[in-house]
Amino acid sequence: VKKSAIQRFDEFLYTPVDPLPIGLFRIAFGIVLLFRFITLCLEFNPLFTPDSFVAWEVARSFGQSVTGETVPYYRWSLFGISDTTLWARLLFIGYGISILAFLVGWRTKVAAFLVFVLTVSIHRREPILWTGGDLVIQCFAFWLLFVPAGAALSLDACRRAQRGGSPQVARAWGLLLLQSQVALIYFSTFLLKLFEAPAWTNGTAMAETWRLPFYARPWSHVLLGVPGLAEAATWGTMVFEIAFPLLIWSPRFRPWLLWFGVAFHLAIELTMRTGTFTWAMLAAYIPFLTASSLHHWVGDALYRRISMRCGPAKP
Amino acid sequence: MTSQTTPHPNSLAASRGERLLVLWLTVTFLLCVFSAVPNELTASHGPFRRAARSYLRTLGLDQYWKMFVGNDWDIPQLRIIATTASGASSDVTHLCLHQEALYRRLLDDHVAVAHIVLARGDLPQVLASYARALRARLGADVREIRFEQLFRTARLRRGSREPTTVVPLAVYAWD
Repeated sequence: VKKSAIQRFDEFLYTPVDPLPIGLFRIAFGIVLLFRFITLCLEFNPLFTPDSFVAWEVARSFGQSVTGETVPYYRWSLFGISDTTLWARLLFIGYGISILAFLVGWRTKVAAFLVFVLTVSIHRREPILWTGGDLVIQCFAFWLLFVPAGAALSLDACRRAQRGGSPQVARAWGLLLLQSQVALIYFSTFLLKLFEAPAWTNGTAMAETWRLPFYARPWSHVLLGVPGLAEAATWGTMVFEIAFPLLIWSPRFRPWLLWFGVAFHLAIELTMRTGTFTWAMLAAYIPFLTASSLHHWVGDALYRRISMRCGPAKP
Repeated sequence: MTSQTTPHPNSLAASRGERLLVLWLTVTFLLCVFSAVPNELTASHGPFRRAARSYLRTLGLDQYWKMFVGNDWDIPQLRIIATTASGASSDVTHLCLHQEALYRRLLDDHVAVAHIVLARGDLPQVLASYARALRARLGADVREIRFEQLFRTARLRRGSREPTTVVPLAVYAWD
């Protein structure tokens, strides 16, 4: 019987999927969040209290312009409730607890909501500090509100299994959202480089980047002495950033792109200081892993054990 | 997508609420795509583009992935000078723990700071806030805090160790 287009569309979006990749992503993302939280705590006083370098009255109206155009928007932040050190401390304590709860999958939906709200609030309290990695974190914190992040590898799933309750259902559209965000990051930055950055189209961008004292690692200038390497890295980056969003949907190309992407981001980390960007992006690759590849890597016996204990119930 | 899925025993039909949620998320994501492409490609959609960005930024879904896309690779470096009532000046840049973030911000803009001050309403306010916080740390004896910008392009491009240009950025004075 031929399926109608609507049926195919329904299958595409609503087919139940194994939630283990989402659970694994939640853990990796939670670890990135936790490390970032610890580094923020070390600079709590100069960054987030009323005596910080950027006062709240400046921060609250900051960034109404994007790329030179005026973009007014509602700048909500929990820091707006009270500009006191006590309130800032309470928000940070709440943020730390939420991240831990999210990481272990305890009350995951509530934890995910608090992680998102507090991430945005903290970003808006200190508007200058953030880099691309922080933006990656903020976007994924938003999409994670809508996927069953606690359906596998979580205390919630263990508790449900012990009580004999029915497991949470993960559907294809949730994974698709997480995957599409990664693809959009590469696609967008490719277009920006192509249309707004001559250094990328004339092949000199990586050489210039390796000279930037605030981004380059101390040893990166050595790479400048290797003939053709900077040009190859520039063009290679452009090719990868357009290939990924176009070809990642093909099962044939996906493993190659993911492996290349891992090498690409580790190379960035080895040569440039980009904060949490590398680790957030590598964590964001996990939703592209299939349940079968997890079977393959983890081993069938261990996979079944994990699934039985803290994954969805098996038939 | 479906090729990577594993049949689940608890296959449920999507409810109306779930379908509406997916519809909203799809529209939101498409707006993310629209807002993330360069201005040149959507120049004729100015008002709609601004509305989309307002909506996305309100949600917390900022999507502007401009990693290292600058046209101007001059490297600005911030220097902060404090002057006391007796006229003694000292470099207090190191006290500004947050300075690296400001460098990054300036670096991201990839334009001369004078242009930033003219084009972006934010920066003077930020520097004023910096000045107030620094004075609170240094004491009321401080009469002036001066922000300067060092451009080190020549050092980077030709191997010189000296900055080529010092550009006054902002001065904040107290009586």
